[in-house]
Amino acid sequence: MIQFIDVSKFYEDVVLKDISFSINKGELAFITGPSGVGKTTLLKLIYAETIPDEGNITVAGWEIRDLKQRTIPYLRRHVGVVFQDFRLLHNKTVFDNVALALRIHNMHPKEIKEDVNEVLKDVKLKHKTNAFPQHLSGGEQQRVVIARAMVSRPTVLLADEPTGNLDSANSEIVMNLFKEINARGTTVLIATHNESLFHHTGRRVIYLKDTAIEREVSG
Amino acid sequence: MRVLFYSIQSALKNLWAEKWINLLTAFSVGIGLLILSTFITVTFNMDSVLKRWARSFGIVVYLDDDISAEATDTVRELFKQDADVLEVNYISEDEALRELRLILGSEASILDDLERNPLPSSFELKLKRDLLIPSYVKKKAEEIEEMSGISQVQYGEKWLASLNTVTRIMKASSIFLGGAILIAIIFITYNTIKIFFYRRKEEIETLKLLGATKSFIRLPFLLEGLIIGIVGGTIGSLALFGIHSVLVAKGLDFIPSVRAIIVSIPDEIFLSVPVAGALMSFIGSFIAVGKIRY
Repeated sequence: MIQFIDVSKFYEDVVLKDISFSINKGELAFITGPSGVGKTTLLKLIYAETIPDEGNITVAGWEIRDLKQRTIPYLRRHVGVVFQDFRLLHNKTVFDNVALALRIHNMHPKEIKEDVNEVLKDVKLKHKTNAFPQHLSGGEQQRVVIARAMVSRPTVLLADEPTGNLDSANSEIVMNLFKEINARGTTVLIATHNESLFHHTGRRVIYLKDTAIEREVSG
Repeated sequence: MRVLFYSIQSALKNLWAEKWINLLTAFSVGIGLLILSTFITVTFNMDSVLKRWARSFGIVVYLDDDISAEATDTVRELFKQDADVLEVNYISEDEALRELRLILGSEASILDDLERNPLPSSFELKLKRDLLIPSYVKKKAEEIEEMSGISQVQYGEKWLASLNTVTRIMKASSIFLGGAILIAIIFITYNTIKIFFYRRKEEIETLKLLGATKSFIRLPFLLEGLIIGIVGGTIGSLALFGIHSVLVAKGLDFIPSVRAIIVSIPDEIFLSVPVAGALMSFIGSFIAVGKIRY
């Protein structure tokens, strides 16, 4: 589902060097390493926010390097992303924030309403449908972001430090949501420096260190 | 279609959220279009006046004193067959004298002492409107003067030159002022939409990451510009109608000379102003949104 072959990315310095790994369809895996090691860049490469300087990346059958500007949106519709900084629109309600992902898909308003209500029920935020993001707690905002990422039923779901701003109780809720999404068949890749998220989960963990893959631990 | 519907909804919401700045922009567009449409109206009316004046312009062709009736008919036929000539009027010696008597009024008795009528017979020629170019008329007059049986050709050379200059200045001013105002409208809308675009930069980035196409992102901004232009144009149209109505109802009593330049407004202008506003604002928004890169 996701394949990296000898991928390198440079900004002023080398950020990632000769990265090769693959994530299978339906897998839930973790990328970990200290802050600044390139976890976020690695995720950005997957949803084509940045393009590799060397090597090839394939995501759900799309070759990232061959993508044209006009085809990037269509790749992104297959990849749900849970951003570290949430990226919620503060002038829109919870419902509208989640519905936005489906409006982009040009879905019928009736279907949008049904799907959004269903996904808000899944993330236990049905009662916050008409609230604005700034009136929600950090955990609730994170669940809105997850709802927005999963509502369009993406093939791949990426999460960048999804529990970075959450307490342990909210972290557990969020992790359980990822497991549920994965159980429905979505490939999930989580980037985190929080080792407690993947300890004893039996899931594959890719360790990054000094711009390269240090080791892979299979669950 | 659903994207368009969503974009219209989104544009209307955004316009309402920033209603004051949008209203100010629409008013600026409206004022610009009002100035332009007023100028066009004045030009249109002035042009009508000039056309009316031009209709009275003629070349007077004096015939030789001893010209025969046959030769006069030949000259008349030549003028009638001339494609440049619109109208040919023959004024006999007697008619010319009658007109002179009318002009002199009570002083006409001085003509009684004349032994014979000193006035020559003449033709008054009206040229086609689009040929009233000083150089062309001069050439035409010279050609006529060369014809047999013609003693002299006269026309209002200076008057024609002034008429031509006024028309040229008006046309040039229309193009210059029109162009300047239309560019100003593009710039006004460009600025407003650019501000909105920067204010919603985060929203645009999020939309891009969620997989929105360029047209999905652009459309609400373009529609906002379009609506601002339509509203501005409508304001301009209504203001023009209002000013014209007041001028016609009250102003003419106080400034009668206004009648010469503001007679009527072409109906098309009331529709053209909002259309021009919409078009220019759309162009302004289009430039403001610019290229979207992923």
